[in-house]
Parts: sequence; structure tokens; C-alpha cells
Amino acid sequence: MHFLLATEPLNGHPEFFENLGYQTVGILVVITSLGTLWLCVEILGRLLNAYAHQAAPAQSPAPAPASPPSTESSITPEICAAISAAITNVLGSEVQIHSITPSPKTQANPFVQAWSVEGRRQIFHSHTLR
Amino acid sequence: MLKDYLDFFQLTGFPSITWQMPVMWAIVMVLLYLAVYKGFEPLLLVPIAFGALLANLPSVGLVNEPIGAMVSPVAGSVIEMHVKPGEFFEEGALIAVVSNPEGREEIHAHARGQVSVAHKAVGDRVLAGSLLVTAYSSEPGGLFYYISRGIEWEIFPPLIFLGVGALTDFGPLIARPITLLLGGAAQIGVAVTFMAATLLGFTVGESASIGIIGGADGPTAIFLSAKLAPHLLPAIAVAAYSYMALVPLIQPPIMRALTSKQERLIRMTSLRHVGKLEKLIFALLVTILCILLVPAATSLIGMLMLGNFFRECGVTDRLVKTAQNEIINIITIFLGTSVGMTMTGTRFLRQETLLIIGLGVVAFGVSTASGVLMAKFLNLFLKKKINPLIGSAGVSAVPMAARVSQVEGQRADPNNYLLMHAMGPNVAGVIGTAVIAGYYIATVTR
Repeated sequence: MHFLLATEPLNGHPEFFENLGYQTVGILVVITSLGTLWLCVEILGRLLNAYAHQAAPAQSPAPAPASPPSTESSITPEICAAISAAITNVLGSEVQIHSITPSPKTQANPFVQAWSVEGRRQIFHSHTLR
Repeated sequence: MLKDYLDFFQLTGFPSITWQMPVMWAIVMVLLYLAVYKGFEPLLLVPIAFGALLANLPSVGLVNEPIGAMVSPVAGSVIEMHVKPGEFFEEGALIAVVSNPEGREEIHAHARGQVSVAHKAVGDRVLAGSLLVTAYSSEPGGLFYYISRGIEWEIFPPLIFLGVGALTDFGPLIARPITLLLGGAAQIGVAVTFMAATLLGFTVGESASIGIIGGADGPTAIFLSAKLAPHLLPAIAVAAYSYMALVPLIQPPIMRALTSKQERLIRMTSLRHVGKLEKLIFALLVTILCILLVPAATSLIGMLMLGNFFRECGVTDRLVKTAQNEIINIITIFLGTSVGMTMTGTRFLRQETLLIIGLGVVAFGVSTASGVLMAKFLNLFLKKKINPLIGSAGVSAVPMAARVSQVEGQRADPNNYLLMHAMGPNVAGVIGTAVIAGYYIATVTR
């Protein structure tokens, strides 16, 4: 394992094993950097999530559908929430949603649908919503 | 009258045409065709190709150096000094001759001027870069002599990174940070290509510059080449950008060969919402951590995260728009044309250019395979499995590589959406490539 400790600058035309050791150290540097970031981000996410859960009961809950509707797997919870909110607004809170099915038009070309979602996400990210 | 006409002909550019120029014109036409009609990275290939066209014409006032400091290009001894302080000289005049065991190097004047100081005399020993003569001239350098300082002084790549940071959403990466490891694994392609280049006879500086093609990150490839192997910059830039455009052709066969049908069908759970505070802390965290670990990557990582902080903080709208549009567009024009200007026939038409282009494919292929294999390896330990197809997005090439993961995923299951999941390793690849470039800069001697 001594080659892992090769810290001298590499120059000229190094031997195969000297080069191998040097590259191994390089990959370890990358993995260490990104691995440390992973751990930090993971811890940060959990801390913020825990804080958000603590703060949540203080807020008044938004109206939600009486029972979770059966949905197609391609409909995300965000879309489901948006549809529920729109229906509640138009028809009132007595209505129950039993199922949500994507329209055949968008199902026909799911790749286009994915790009539409991505496009909308980027548009919303590029605007400051107040 | 005929004599006058023939004399005028001597003043035109036609007598200066060399055999390399028409060959380079043909290469320029191929690059323009790929960019304009095939849509291969047109924002970069068009300025590169047009710059290459200008570099391969007998141009005047475009790339010529200004008179000022005349330095020795090699180490050796001064055997002839043809000027004295106060003397005038014409363009092309022989100023000095330096001899070393490999032969003799003549230093000629780029423009007319007057000698201010002669720093060396016959018999003096000099190093490469030693000042021989300081001169004054009223003639400035060419336009691109000054613009290309942006590459030589490594100004353009970090400015491009500022724009890239302002355009990048790190949300998918923060939502599933384990994908950082996929971006790290893709750097194995860089290391393997480095070793292959060394075995083929390239020096370590050249090998590092060639290997970084596997990172699929144009600005980083240019940044590293300008530092470690400036003479290979044109070939490396063309290979890097051409292969980035060819990602949809290079990656899918490797992805399919390394994954089973069942693995390609894996559906990943939806990404959680990532708030503004988390994104801001992430930008600061990456800056501090990566610069502490690899200080040589400061200019790339620092500008990338500055641009991203502009984007996420929500109070610098005008700066974000400038970084996302004006800065990145202007710098792209200057960067592309300056790279093209280095593609003179004598520098580009060499056997090593073919080797670099060949090694570029190896770099992309190994990087893709490493990312996919790392995803499979992680799946051995994870409860929520990763679709290995997103591993290939660990090569930077944002967002092309993520799109390839999406398309390949939908080939196996039309209702599987991998795009946002693939954006995680995709942007992790940008950070990973900058880190390994910093490692090479810090540890490789040119």
C-alpha cells in the first residue's frame, strides 16, 4: 500500500505502478471530497427536516381530500395536491376524489411530458415568486 | 504594368498559403457542417471552427504579438546578438540566436521597433523564458493576441463556470446526495485515460490534459490544458466538445451492455423538496470543503458556487441574469474563437492529434462505465435502489448525459422518468471533474 502515500509531484514518464498509485490517490481525493459532501448534505437535510416537522403543528393545515385517491404512478404527490386544491376550490370540500388518470394525450408521449415538467420547473425557478 | 501587377500579387496572401492551410479549411468545413446541420454543440463549435479558419489564413493584425519583452524560447547559451540599445529594427529582423544541445533557436522581431535594453550578451547562459531584449514599438499586437490572454491567464474557464453555476439547480443532488458518488466514480475514466496516454509516450502534463476529456467538461479541459499542456489545447478542446456532442451515440451501448433488463426497469422514488436555505448552505459547503481539500481548484469551484449562490439567494436577480446570459455568451464567443485561433495547421495536423481523439473516446467510455458500475455497486447496500442508468450521467456534459439516462430508461419502461434523478450525478460530475483537475494541477509538473 506504500504507493498510496506517493505525494511527490509526478513528472516526465512515470513507471506503471508509480502512475497507478498516483491515480489511486487522485480518485481517493475525489471520492473523499464528494463523500464528505454527501455526509454533510445528508446530515443537513435531516436536521432541516426535523426542524420543519417541529414547526409544522403550529401552522393551520391546508384542506386535503377526504381520502387519498387511487392514482396512476406517474402522478406525483405534488400534482395530486394541486388537483385536490383546484377541485376543492371549485366544487367545495364535500367532494371526494377516487381516482386520477393522466389524459391519453400526455400518456401517448411520456418523453414530451417529462420535458414539459422540466420546462415548467425551470420557468418557476427562474422567477422570484412572491 | 505587368511587373506592377506581379509585385502587387506578392503583397496578397496567396504566396503565403502552405499545404496545411487547405487541409485545415476542410477540417473547418467538417466542424461547421456538424455544428450547423447536425446541431453538435453549435454554440462552441461555430466559434471554434471560424477561429480555426482565421488562424489558417495569412491574416494580418489578428494574432501577432506586440513588441515588448523578447524572451528565449529554450534554455541554452546566447551565441549571436544582432541588436544594441537604441538601434531600430524591422519586422522579421533577426534579434538573437540561442544554442542548446538540440540545435539553435532564432529569435525574430514580430514588428518594427527600437531596442531599449539588451539584457544578455553573447556567451551568456539563459533559461527558457529568460528576457533577452526589451524593445519599444508603436505597433500594438493583434486583436486575438489580447483576447486569447483570457485562456493563457485562465480567465475564461472560471467565468464560464460562473454562468454554469447560475444555470445549475443542485436541488436533485441535494435531495439524493448519494449520487455525488456517481459523479466521483465517473472520474475513473479520467485516471484510466491519463495512464493510457502516459503508456503511449505523452508526458504527465499532456496525459492529465488528455485524461480530463473524460470529465466531459469543456471549460475544465481548457483550464487544465492551458496550464499543463498549452500546445495540445486545440486538439483537446475539439475532442472534448465533439465527444460531448456525441454523448447520445457513445453512452447507450455501454449502458445497455452493463445493465440487465430488470436493472433498467428500476423506478426511483420521487425526490423530496429542497428548500432555499438548504441550497444556500450547500453552495457554501461545497466552496469551503472543496477548496480546503484541493486549493488548486479554487478558481473553478469558487466561481461555480458563486454563480449558484447568486441564483439561489433570490436577491441578486440582475446578477443572475447577467451571469446566465451576457457573461456566459460573451465569454463563449471569446473562448471558442481563441481556441480556434490556436488550431494552426502546424500545431493541429500531427499524429498526436489522432491519438488524442482516440484517447478521448476511451475516456468517455470508461467514465460512462464507471458511473454505471458504481450505481450497481451502491445497489448492493441500498434499500431504495438506484437505476444504474443514471450512473452514466456522472460524466458532466450537463444536461446531455442526463437526457441520455432518461431516454434509455424510457426505452425499457415508457413510464419511468429518470431525468431529475440523473441531474444529481450530472452536476456532481461537474464538481468531481473540477476536483480531479485541481489535484492534477497541484501535483503534476509541466
